[in-house]
Amino acid sequence: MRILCVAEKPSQAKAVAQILSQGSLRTRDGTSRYNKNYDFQYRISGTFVPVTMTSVIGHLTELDFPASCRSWHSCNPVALFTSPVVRAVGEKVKDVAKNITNEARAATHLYIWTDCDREGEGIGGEITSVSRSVNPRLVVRRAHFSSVLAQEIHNAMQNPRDLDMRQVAAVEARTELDLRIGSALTRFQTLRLSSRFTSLNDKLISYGPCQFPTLGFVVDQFLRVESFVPETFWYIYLEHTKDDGRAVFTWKRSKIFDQEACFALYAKCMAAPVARVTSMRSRPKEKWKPLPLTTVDLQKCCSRYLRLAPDLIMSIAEGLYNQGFISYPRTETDQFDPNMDLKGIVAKLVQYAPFSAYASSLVNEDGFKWPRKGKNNDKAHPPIHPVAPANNLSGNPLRVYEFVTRRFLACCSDNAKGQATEIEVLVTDEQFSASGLMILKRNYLDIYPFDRWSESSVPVYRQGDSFEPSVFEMRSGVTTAPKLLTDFDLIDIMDKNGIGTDATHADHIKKIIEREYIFRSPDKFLAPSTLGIGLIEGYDSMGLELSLSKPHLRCEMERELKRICDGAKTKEDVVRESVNLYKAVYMKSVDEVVKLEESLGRCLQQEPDSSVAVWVPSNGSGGSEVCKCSKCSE
Amino acid sequence: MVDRAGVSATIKKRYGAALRAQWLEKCAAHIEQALRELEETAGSRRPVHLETQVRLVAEQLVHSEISDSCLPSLVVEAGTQHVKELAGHPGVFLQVQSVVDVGVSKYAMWEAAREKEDFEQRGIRPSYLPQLTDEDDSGSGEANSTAATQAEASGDSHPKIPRKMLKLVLTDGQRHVSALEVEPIAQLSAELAIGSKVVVTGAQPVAGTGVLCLRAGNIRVVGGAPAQYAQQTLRARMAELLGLEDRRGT
Repeated sequence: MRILCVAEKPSQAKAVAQILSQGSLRTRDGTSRYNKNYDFQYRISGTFVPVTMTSVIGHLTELDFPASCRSWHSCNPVALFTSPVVRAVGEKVKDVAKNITNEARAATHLYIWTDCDREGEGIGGEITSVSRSVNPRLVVRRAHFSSVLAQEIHNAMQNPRDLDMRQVAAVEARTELDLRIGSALTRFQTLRLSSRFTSLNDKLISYGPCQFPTLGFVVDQFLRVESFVPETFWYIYLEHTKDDGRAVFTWKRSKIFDQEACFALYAKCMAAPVARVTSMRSRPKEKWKPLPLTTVDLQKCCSRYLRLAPDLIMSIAEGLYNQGFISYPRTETDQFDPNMDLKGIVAKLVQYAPFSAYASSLVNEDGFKWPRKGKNNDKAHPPIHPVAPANNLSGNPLRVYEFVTRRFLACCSDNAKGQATEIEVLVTDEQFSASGLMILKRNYLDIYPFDRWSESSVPVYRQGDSFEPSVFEMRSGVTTAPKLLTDFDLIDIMDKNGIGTDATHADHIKKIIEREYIFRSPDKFLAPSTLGIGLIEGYDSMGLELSLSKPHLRCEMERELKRICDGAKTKEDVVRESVNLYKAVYMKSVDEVVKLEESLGRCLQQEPDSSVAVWVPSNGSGGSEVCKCSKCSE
Repeated sequence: MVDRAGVSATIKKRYGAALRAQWLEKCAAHIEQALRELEETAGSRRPVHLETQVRLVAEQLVHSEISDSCLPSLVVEAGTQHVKELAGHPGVFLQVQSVVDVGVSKYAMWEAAREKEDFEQRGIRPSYLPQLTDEDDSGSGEANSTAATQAEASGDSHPKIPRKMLKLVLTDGQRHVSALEVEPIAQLSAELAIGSKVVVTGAQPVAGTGVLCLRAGNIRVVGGAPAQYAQQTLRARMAELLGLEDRRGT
């Protein structure tokens, strides 16, 4: 028996090999500069087995069109929906693949050690097919782990599972669909638009099935802010000053956007301006500790509280995971498995200097409480939590680590407890209320300063009391415009609309910034560029029920991909249906491209350049004449 | 033959509406013509019951312009011109000239009406953008998170029009009066057709203002949707009040 282990990244291979070999490994160069091979002995069922641990650098194979369609001018983009596709080893990773095949020849077993998520499973599938091409009798197993912690790694090595071929199929489906749809629309958009607008010459106007809906959200909010009209409102203000304090009462109706109406209600009250206390309640109130941490929440909170961009957050989190400080940072699970030793983790954190005192109090003074249980469980990884004290970090990694740790300790604490007083009064028929809060025990708030709970005092009233208000008048205010989206908001919206997965949200945002469709202002708001607005409004004006700029198409596709993972549908069916759907949308877009140009012209404040021959998709034969000149139709 | 006197009296008793003789004459003649045509095709000749006649005239009445069909019925104070308390049974027959939810900003209402229309006509689901919460200057970032959870709660269901407090402007053909819904009345909504006919019973104006206070028993919606007001949908009215032109989509 001889095992070949393949990890997704060189750093991970080294870390895992160190743990499995317990320090005694031999490093050997292979055909790839980046991927070293580590040889050691591992004990399985009593006997020592030779193991070689190596890695790849992400995807090994690529999907592309055959040479006849590869060049942009070689065919009508619509053909890309149905053209055959070819999977081959990527040019840049030929050496990596060679290393794998060399090692695979000598092995009897292949253990996949890629990240335990859908993409990782897909990469595992590629490694398998590349390896089996030189060694068809290789037995393939899959190691499953959520953190680079000795116990977990050994457990994974000794209890390997099978590769989930359904997830592999889902990844293949997604890659194929993204390739076909992305290529067809990118070619069409770029060729057509860059020739018509001088400011867009030489620009790549790409389309991605996730990018566009994400851009759509940013544009929609921008237009909302632009078209906002401020409105005046009126309300009744009631205040009462007593010996023991001052109470400010809130009107139950909140605001009235019509002065005559508000005045009518006020006049009714003024007929008998005496307030009667209808109820006075004092009861305990709790502020709930936060839920266990998911990827979406990590990105939201770190972007809002630490002011970091989502893609930076994810790369830092991955770094912390590879160094063994936190658990796998891509998860949707917000509940902890009852078998996990959470108290043990808190005990370890006593060694993390800044939180040592707090962690001790949880362990020693019986402050530990089991975390709340959320509704989600992706059955692959636990919520993000610290796994070891990290005493040598600095800068942003330190801040992210501290956030994860604070969140975890807060989850293991008790809710904050207080006493709330609520008073309700009636003036003629109008209801008003006032409230006070006294915080009795801060509990989790001591370690998690991101939640606010403010105290306020209120004088004592008894049910049935009557009093004359000290101040009773009509006041007014004006509504203010909503704000542009922040990273926090955008990730939230993408999540709720099923665009992208927790692994890809940050990537899509980064991509549309790269393409100059949106930009991030210095105070962290996301605003669309004129190009971005032009594209979205253009597609919207085509009146498509399933517009390319709205999330529904992609959301449906993500659901279908999930069905492949659940075994409810085959990859072939999903690909075929999605291709048909997008192809129809593409055809309509081609027909109505003039609307796109009108919209862009308006937003870029340019007229389409009519001196240049208009590009029209035609069935090129690979030769040079593929543009139909609108003037002479040659 | 339509019994003009009988129909007029019944309608007065039932809806509180005093029909203009001219209008009733035109309406009755129109109905008689239609009945004659029916008799010719059916071949028989049967007198039409008073109840049916009333129903036929009432159908025309609710779709009519009230200044054409009815005599003015609101009574005002001499000095202030404010409306006096409205009579009890049978009440006063009025036309709805405007319906606005004054507890919601027109902008938020416009957005909601647009989303609902998009959903009903084109099947486009709302896209969970953070909802407007009508915050004033003192509003904080808290608003966004609660709005997002509200969106979550309403989930995939039909987009709803917000509902706080409606203010109606009613007319008898000559005078206008404002009416405020001091407690929610199920029959009313911001989407009520302009030109609908209502019967208002026993509503009191607020002293010194002339604004009527409506409670559940005070108002009954009879119906009607006159063609001349068909363009004034909720969405169109809000857009007009805000001075917006809907340039995206139709």
